[in-house]
Amino acid sequence: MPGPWQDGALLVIAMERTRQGDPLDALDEAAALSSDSRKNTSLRGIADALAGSGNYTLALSTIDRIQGEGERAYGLSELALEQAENSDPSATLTVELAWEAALKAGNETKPYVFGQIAVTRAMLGDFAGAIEISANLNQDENAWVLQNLTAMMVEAGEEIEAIALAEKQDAPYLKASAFLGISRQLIEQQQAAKRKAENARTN
Amino acid sequence: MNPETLTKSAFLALTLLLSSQTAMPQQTPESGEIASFLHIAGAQLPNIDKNQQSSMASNIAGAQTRIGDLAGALSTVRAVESEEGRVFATGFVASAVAWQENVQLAIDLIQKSAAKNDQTKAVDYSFVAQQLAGKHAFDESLKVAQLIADGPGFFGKTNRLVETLMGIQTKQWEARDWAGAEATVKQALDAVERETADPYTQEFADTMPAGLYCEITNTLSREGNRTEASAVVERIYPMVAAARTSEIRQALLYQLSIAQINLGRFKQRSTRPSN
Repeated sequence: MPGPWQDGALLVIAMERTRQGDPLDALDEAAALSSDSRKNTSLRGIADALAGSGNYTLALSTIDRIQGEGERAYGLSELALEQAENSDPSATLTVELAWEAALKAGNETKPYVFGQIAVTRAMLGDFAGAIEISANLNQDENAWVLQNLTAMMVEAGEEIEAIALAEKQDAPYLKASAFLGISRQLIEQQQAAKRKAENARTN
Repeated sequence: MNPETLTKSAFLALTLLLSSQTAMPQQTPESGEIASFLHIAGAQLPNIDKNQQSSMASNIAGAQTRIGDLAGALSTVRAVESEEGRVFATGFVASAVAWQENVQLAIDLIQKSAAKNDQTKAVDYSFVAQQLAGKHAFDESLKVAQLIADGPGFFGKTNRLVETLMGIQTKQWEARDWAGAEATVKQALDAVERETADPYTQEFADTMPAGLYCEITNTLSREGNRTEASAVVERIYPMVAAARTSEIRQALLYQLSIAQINLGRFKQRSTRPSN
């Protein structure tokens, strides 16, 4: 099979091995990839899987193998987000490593890396830190950050602050995103309350 | 991961994460309060870039429908400039309506959303069908999927149909409706056979069926249904053997290798050994 086709298949093998709980063998597959971008994609996936199984040391060393400062920052920010989603306390350290890597990579850092870092910080309860990052993001990136951030603020009981943040947005797209985040979280809470009431009635 | 996909998955994961945590003591939010926030969000639409209008309106209108503000949702949809965008946003309203068990209204909304735009209407039907499958309303879900099959032809119609059917099939499998799942896989395979016999365009006629079989194999493998998945992979071998050019052969070999990988056969031969 010629190079690009072979690379495509090897990437899928690496991801499938990772999915099947065999990330160490997946590393061999990743090493055989000729394209840096596919190698990086594969290594990020393997690192996520390693972190998911609690092997943070190997997860971080896997990210070290990623080519390019900006790509490594991306790997770290994705890992931090994954950890935060799993309520893993290591997320606090990983998000700081991601932040340092993103700053060090400068222009090589993709905007969504900063977006991921902002959302991870918010998930960890650092709303001020998340707001600070979001203020410097481009509009496309900031829209989803604000949507997540305002939702988390409402969930944390900071609805007034979330509304203030939404009202502060001058750009229509950002204002809409922020109010959408607030609304979605309130709907979740409303529906959770309805379910609770229904359960109480039936029990 | 694609950042857009990440956005969606992150938000979903986030919602799940947060909903599982111990929440602060809060009052139950009133629908009127939520409706007013969504109204503010919707009021921004005319000043939002045309490329972002459709997805934003979809999310706002879907949320409005969830709180019972159908009039507000339809007004939000009307604020989208492009017809395609309005049809797409209608799908979010329709799937929320379907979730509230008003399937006929959901279908009517989609059918009346535009005279044409069949491709986007098929996306809407797929949303509704998946929503119904999520509620284990499989008969209704399959009827909605059938609307894709019965609708006018367009490039990618079979892909959309197969994706929808396999999504329904997964929910049937999860619900332990084995017979239903098997019948739905058969519908998906029949759709691929129809595409093979009568391709919408000759341009991808040599490779598209293999790609669809690969997709079906992937779903079945993930469910652990290896017997059925292996049988689907068998359908790709003769396509490789009959390839008209070396380029087509390479593409088919690639599809075959992906199907084998999905089955966990990392060292499988690319052609069947001769006896």
